[in-house]
Amino acid sequence: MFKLNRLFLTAVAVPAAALAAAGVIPAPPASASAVPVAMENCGNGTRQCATFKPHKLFLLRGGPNVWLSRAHWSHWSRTSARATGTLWGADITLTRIGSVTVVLHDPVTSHGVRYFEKLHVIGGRDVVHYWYWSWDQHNWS
Amino acid sequence: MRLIIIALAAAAAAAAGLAACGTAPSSPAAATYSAAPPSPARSAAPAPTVTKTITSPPATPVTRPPPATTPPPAAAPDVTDPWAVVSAYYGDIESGDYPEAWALLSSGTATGQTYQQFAAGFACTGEQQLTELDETGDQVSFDLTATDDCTGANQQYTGTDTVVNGKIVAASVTQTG
Repeated sequence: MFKLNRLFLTAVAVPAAALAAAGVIPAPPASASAVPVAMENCGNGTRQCATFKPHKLFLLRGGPNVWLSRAHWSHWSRTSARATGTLWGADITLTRIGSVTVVLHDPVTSHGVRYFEKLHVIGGRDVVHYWYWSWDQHNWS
Repeated sequence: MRLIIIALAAAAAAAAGLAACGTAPSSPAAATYSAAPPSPARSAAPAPTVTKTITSPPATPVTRPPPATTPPPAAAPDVTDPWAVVSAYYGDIESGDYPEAWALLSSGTATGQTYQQFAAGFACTGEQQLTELDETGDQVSFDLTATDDCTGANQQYTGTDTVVNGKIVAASVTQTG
């Protein structure tokens, strides 16, 4: 099912009201039994992507940048996913935040996507440890 | 110090060569990273046509075993924010994640290096400090301080990278000290 790490979901970033106004019918909601994906901002502005076991996962992109690199996923199930890796931050300077464990949990379905809504960073210094995916901000927040 | 004037694709290779002598700092973060404080607004000015002047650092002896020669990943991250790409590139270099760094260079084979040559170029990689100076359109300028672990020398650079479709397509890096 997930032969591609990345599914481009530009369309789902469009608010439902806008879709309705434009006469676009959103795809039917993903099945609750589907394996959730992780969301991330994949570029400028409102572009966002769904990923599955990515080698690199951006928590923030476009202003300050925060990302998990060299992610090694120990499991990815219908209820949670867990990876170890190195967390980096780049606002004005590039900083290695530290070795961390990232846990994705609380799968939900929205915008036709089954995804993990919450992310917990375990370890690292000077970083927010609890995040949730924000469709409005197109980033983890 | 060799002065090489090349264009576009080959410039990315020069950036890679520069990075071969550096890694990012491991000091604690000064700021708390969260979604709350946004960075200053970015300019949307279009990137100019680029002809690059590249100053490459002197060649250094290889004293470490060559890095793993894992082939580059098939799919590169789709990122377009220039600073996100450039900082991720140098982060990958420090992490020793050369396949990921290679994947952020446009047309890697057009740099004149094979992946194995690219990865082997980091044998003297030491600490490096990367600081963003400005970002305009598809270009980001930065200062880089790099330590050559083979010689112990610290070298300062200033550079500008051009990022298109999530790839570094050109680099202008000059040694300043």
